[in-house]
Amino acid sequence: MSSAAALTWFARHEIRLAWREWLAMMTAGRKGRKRAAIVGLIVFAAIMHLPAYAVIGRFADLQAPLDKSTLIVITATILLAWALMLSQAIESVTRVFYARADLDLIMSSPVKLANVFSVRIAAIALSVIAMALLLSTPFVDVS
Amino acid sequence: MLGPNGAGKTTPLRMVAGLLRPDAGSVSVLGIDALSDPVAAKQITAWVSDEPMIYDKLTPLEYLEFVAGLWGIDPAVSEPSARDLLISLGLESHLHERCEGFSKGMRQKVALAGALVHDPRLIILDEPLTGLDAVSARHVKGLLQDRVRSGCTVIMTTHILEVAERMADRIGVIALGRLVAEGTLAELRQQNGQNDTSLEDMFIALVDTEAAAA
Repeated sequence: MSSAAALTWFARHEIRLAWREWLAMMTAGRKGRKRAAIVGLIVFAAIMHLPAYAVIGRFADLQAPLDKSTLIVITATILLAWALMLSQAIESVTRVFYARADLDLIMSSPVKLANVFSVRIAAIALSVIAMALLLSTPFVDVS
Repeated sequence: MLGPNGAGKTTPLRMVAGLLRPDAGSVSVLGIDALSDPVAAKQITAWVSDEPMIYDKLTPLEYLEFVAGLWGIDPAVSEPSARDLLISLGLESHLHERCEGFSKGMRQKVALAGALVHDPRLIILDEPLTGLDAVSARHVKGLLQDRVRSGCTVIMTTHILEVAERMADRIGVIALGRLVAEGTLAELRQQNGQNDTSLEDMFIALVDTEAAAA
């Protein structure tokens, strides 16, 4: 297997695991709930528009210069988003690197570890971004 | 490899499997220097820990396909031997079920099949028979003996002395981190001057002597 093929192959494995783990979490492990989980996500994003409007609706169409209270709200929002992404990343690292407990298997194989762990870290970054987008999109939409 | 709990049986095996780096000394795997060329050594080695890891969300066939992929084997090539291995371990009716509902014994068998799917020349097993029922244990022992007959080397730790007595060509006894005896059963008896004693008596005597000397 070439290096690129190995990366693609491992990425496919990671995506398959992540998808099945996510689906199991969303459906509580019950079969036939895949569609319900996806619809649930869309409804969640739609409902998130209500708190988004309540929080930042009055800040829509802002014009410079910004006043102090507006800057405080923007800074707090950025800090909260950062804290959310950080906690999500820590949870993902724990789950992906330790809860799966597959490091012995991977490290006892001849596979190039730098490749494997790069893919894994990229997958964590992508999942964190996806979660952040899910929560922030309604806020962006409202503003 | 025999030894009391905490004697240090697993640590040297993890070094041979490339999971730990020794502070001193060398590791040679069938003539390959495992410290200077770990990839070549890992290519011919398989490692199964006493608490084997399998992915709950994969089926046994998918798991074996993944393990084979780690050793660079194309799924089209590995699939038939993966299927044969799982069937030989009595998992025929579970090939397409996800492993999340599997018992400890079934998980142990899937992990063992994973270790064999890339056809290693050296198989290292940490207490592979723990948690297996009598039928499963016989399946596993048969499979390992077949591999040995085909030229493969198997190193395993066990607390079941009868297994060591019946299966092992050579037995090593570790106590307090030191290899205190090593050889065939006859050689061990000769070394200890006890020609008609059981392995169990000899093992206990060796461990007690080492503990007393410490």
